Amino acid sequence: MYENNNYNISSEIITKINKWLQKFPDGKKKPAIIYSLHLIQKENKYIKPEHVEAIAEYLSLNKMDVHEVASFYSMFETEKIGKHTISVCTNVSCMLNGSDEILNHLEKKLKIKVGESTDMFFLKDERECLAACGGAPMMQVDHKYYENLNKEKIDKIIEDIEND
Amino acid sequence: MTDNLRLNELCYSTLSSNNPNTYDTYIKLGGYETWKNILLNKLSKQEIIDTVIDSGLRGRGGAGFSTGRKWSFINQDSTDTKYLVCNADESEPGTCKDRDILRYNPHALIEGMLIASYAIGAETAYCYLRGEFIDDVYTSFKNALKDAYDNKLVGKNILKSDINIDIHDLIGAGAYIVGEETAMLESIEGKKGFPRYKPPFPALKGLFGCPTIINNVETLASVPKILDNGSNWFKSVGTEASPGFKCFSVSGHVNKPGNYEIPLGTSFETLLDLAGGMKNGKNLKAVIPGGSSVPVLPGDIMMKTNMDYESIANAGSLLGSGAVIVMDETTNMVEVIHRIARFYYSESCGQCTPCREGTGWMYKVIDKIIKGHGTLDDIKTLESIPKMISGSTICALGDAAAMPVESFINHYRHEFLSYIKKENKVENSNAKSNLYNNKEFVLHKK
Amino acid sequence: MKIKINNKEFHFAKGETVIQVADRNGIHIPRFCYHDKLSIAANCRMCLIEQVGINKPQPACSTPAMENQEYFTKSDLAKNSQKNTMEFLLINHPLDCPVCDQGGMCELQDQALMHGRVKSRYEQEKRVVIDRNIGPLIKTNMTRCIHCTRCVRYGEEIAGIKEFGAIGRGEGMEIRTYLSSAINSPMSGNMIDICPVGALNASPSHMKGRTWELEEVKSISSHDCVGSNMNIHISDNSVFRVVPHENEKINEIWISDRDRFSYEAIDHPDRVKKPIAKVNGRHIEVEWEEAFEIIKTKIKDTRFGKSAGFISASSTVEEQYLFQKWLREININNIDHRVSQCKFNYEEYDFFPKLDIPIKEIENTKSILLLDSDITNQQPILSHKIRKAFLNNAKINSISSYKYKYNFDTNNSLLINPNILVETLIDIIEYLSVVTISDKTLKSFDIPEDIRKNFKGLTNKNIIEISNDLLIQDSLVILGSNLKNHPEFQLLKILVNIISVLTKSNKGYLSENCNEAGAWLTGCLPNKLEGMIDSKNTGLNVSESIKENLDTYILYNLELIDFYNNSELKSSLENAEFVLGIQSYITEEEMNYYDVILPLATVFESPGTFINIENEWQSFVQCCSPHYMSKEGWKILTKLRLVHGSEIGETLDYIDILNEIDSIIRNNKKILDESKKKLSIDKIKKEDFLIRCGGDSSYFTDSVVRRATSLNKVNINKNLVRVNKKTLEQNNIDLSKNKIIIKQGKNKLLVDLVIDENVSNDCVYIINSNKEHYDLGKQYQPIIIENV
Ligand SMILES: Cc1cc2nc3c(=O)[nH]c(=O)nc-3n(C[C@H](O)[C@H](O)[C@H](O)COP(=O)(O)O)c2cc1C
Ligand code: SF4
Ligand code: FES
Repeated sequence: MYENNNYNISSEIITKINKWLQKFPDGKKKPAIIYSLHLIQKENKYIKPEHVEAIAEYLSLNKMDVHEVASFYSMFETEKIGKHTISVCTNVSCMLNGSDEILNHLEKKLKIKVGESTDMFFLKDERECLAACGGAPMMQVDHKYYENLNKEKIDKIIEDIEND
Repeated sequence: MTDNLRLNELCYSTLSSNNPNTYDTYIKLGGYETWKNILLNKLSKQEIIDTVIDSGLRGRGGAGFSTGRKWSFINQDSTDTKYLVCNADESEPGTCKDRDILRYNPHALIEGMLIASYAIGAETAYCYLRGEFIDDVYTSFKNALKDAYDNKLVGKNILKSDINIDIHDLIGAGAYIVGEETAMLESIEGKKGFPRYKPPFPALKGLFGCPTIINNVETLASVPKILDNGSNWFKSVGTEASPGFKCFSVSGHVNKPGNYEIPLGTSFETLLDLAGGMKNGKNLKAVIPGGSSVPVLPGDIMMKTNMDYESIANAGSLLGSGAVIVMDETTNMVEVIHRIARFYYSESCGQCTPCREGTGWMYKVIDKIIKGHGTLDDIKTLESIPKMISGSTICALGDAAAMPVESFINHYRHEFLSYIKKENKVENSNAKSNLYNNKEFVLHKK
Repeated sequence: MKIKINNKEFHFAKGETVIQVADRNGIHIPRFCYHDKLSIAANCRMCLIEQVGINKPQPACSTPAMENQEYFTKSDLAKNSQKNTMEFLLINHPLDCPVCDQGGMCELQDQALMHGRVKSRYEQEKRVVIDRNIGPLIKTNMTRCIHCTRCVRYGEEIAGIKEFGAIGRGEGMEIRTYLSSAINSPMSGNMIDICPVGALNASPSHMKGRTWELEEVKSISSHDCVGSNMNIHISDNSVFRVVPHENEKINEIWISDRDRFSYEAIDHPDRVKKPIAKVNGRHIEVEWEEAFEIIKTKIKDTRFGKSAGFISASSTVEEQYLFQKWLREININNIDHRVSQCKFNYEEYDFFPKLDIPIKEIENTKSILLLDSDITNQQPILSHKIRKAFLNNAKINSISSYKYKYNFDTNNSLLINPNILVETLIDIIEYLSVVTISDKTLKSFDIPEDIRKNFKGLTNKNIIEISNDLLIQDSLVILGSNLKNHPEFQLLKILVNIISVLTKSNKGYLSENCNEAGAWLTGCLPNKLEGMIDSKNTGLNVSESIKENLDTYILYNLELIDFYNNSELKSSLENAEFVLGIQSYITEEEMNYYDVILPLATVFESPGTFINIENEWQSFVQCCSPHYMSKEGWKILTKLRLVHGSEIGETLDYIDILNEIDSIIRNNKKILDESKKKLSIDKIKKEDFLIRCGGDSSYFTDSVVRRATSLNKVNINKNLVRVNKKTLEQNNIDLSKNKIIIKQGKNKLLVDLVIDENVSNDCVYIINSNKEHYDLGKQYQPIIIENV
């Protein structure tokens, strides 16, 4: 019976983490937490406790330190979500330009409420302004920007992804 | 009115080219000459700092503090490692100017970072981009950085000058607060974005405990040209106290929303014109002139105001990050502040009491009013909470959350009252009010 | 340098904050997050005061005092700011003081009365936080948490084990443990004390009484060699709870969980409630007088020479003194307290548990070497001091049979089989003898020839590094308390002594018990009288006494599992004519070995004195009167002396005993010195069998702790052993199976197997605490592993 945890960070990710660590003074390991979480989230879609433990173990850190970071930043998902994340900005500039209708449209189209997931999509109502106010209303799908949205444009984007 | 306006001459100067973000374009437009000149002639640090002070360049991240003066706080004699951090966390609602610099003129930023690092004696500089940039924007910046490294303008022994400056790209993961400079340092160190209490200030004790200067993207991207053309060139536009060019992100009810780099002191009217005027020919109702954290101003006041630090301050608001949010006559101001309050409520880091508890309280009171359950006492309470928060928090997010609430009641009290008199009520259409949910691990028991 | 607070001038030192200056001068500034043992967080915003010239209120806790600055702590600005903070804090805080444990001693409640608004204007729903089960010691009520992060900082900074964290952000931020895991660090209870509100409560006393109904008595902890000072809160002749008593020289303001929660054992079902005697083969309760009668007839002249008495090193100085006094008065010289020691060689050396420097000084040492010491678990307060040294950049090294979890980092941590510990220390001596050859101060010191004979040329890089670190000024070598079971314990002490001479290091021989020093000084040894005077009639040591199959055995405050070789002891007891136990607790199984058992008061029910590792005598008073029919040890022993005709008079009282001890021992302390007598060491044998390592669980150290219910729920010690992969493979163990058979001595046991690389080669790591392991014997004995 081995006592170590059951998630092994892939060697590609390890290589990337090691490279990232070179940006910082010798011996500083914490600065790699955020980046490691990004990499692991990309591979697994969302962060599970075993990921947190694996990162903590690899970087010789307390798992609480990693957990705190994972829970603080809004981009880290800790629940099972769909394959693609749609974040609709609903901050002021976008709201003035009809982001709520965009969100409603998406809710109807994907048949889910904000914060919910299908296998394919996770719909997120982004409270933070995504720095594309000049292109409001806008959304990100997997962190790609889609600006100056309207219903037709959205239908096309969703279709393209579904057919991909 | 906008015909002879000097537009996009500084940070957006590459926009007129076909491939604005390439190394070649930047070089063609005379880029990196300043940097090479500094290396070649071993310009003194003090000389550079003096020029920047003289130019009157003020921080474009929001606070508007003199950039040169900030650099001079670094103790040049100390042997401590020093750091430069570029704040590319652009997340003040309404602001989208830095993103375009990162996408279309990344080399100006890189050159600015090199010069700033040189001037403060830093051999390591970090550019911290907000997490949401991870795909498009981050890639653009990383590619540019790679070109600069490939051309030996960054790194060890740059152009055989014995000068070493490394620039590292970093990426965040979604948190408005990390834009606050000390929260950014915490985040770079791999922690939660909790702002630090000051003193000590970062120039004395910053990243990894070492002296650190933090500057905004636009601030740093402005530096090469200022040094290249001289401080007088910069001062030739703008006002005496607010010289130079500034990028404004115009959004909201305008025909041509987007970023416009114009001389400070240009009238708001001109800027509105530049942005194509009011959408659908509606009338102007109100403007938030500097990002969602500054006080809102009624349209008529704005139409008489120029876009520079002092004029806007005199009008009762702040220039902030230069995010101009334009609202037309149909805008429901209670809904707008409800949305703004929700933002600060969900972005408060939770560290200090007034902000953690106060942002939630304000949001909940506005939410109550907007749902038609408000009383006159609620308005009184809502007026007093900002006063209780202001000035008593660790960082300025508390003030940022307080100022808009205060100003919205100030200027649009009657709209709040209409909710209380039940003349107005939002069921659930636009004002989604679901509260901030704490993230929770789904326990996967092994 | 001076500042002005409320119009008065005060001096300050560079680096001081305004709150420190104010505190020093008795000016009250309210605070929640600030704590003078923790780093500054400045997050509660309760300490806001006015600084003249600045229109924003300033937090006193993080504002550095600056020359000629002026502050007001009660101006309108200050008072208003504090009032605002209170209102914010209370919007999400339940107003249920009457049912909160903290009620009456709550910082929030106090401040609310002083600074709060009378009526809350907040009408929205309050935050409700789910409470999670985080183990048996701390009961949370997180809805009351005000996010001051004291508990988080305590974990990061003091305990060195971050158990609480602040998860999430904003109003939803929640203080909790990782995945709601249980709190199990050895000093976690201190978080209960530093939490300013009723969010963290002591589970065992949760909701059981109110603060203002309690009486407070100062006492001394009895579960390790540190002697932490504590306050015991009494209600109704019972211990209600235990909290630290500040003593900067020893425990500062902390105590270990063991000291905090052991009181739960007082009324354990194993308590001996009344004297018990074996009558016609059956154990029955008898009156005290009857019991004494039996003892008088059974322990008589004819048997004196064939009797032995053993006393616990956790008993008080008074008890130990009287115990040996009573036995020697009736010519019983076979007296010992070293019941867990394996071998008794080199007896001419006076090794007694002690630390060469005061406990407080540990934090100033620059280099520390730990020898097989699980210090973080076993002596948490000492570990805290080492942690401080570590944070001060001291180099810490360890040589051990298991990579123990410390709350500090080690430079070198060398894993070795305990079989070669002696050899390893000789290696260090060899290296040191070379590098210190030109040291003139060592001219008169000769390394004994017997040791030199074992020099064999050095190659191990770690040993060299560890030795070099010891040459740093202000270094310390610590011999862990586990080693008391080591066959070469005595020799190890000699070797450590030599190393300390060569490196001018200080040394510490730690003991698991709280008063081992007392047992030495009072003469609970076969060859020493009270005051460490050599005895003319040397008796048998514990091991010889057991082997000799004597007629009478007397066990004082000891359980059979405390003995190194408890199976041999059991057979000797079975064959003895008369066995007397003076005990607080007895198990049904152990009861069978006794003829008479006298009920002994526990440490909480009796006054006494303990001598800690730094040779500090600390006396304490009785917290409550003895429960059931038990009696204080000093009373029982005095009575026994009278029973056997001692001429001390019926009226002898506790004060008389104290005075006697003072004059004979305390004021007449023989300076202890590990004399540099000529040493001849036995040939070092190299064994090639597996050896058992791993000491006692820290919640197993004495009969009280063993019965503290909540503590024993913390780490439920499973019936498992840890072995590294290489060792398993060499012993042909099937790695795919989860169970193996272990054989130690005559015993055999089926156990769970954990493959663990923290165990050194050829070792089997077993923590002694699980009942199933009791009969196996002790650590450092040969052990065999086999497939099921
Ligand atoms: C809550 C908060 C958010 C901030 N967000 C940003 C931001 O997104 N980008 C930025 O450049 N500065 C931001 N700032 C300002 C920075 O703290 C800092 O003043 C700035 O980076 C300094 O650069 P500058 O002197 O070049 O303006 C923020 C400040 C606060 C208090
Ligand atoms: S649990 Fe207590 S000590 Fe910990 S943060 Fe909350 S109030 Fe502070
Ligand atoms: S005590 Fe100063 S902010 Fe908490």
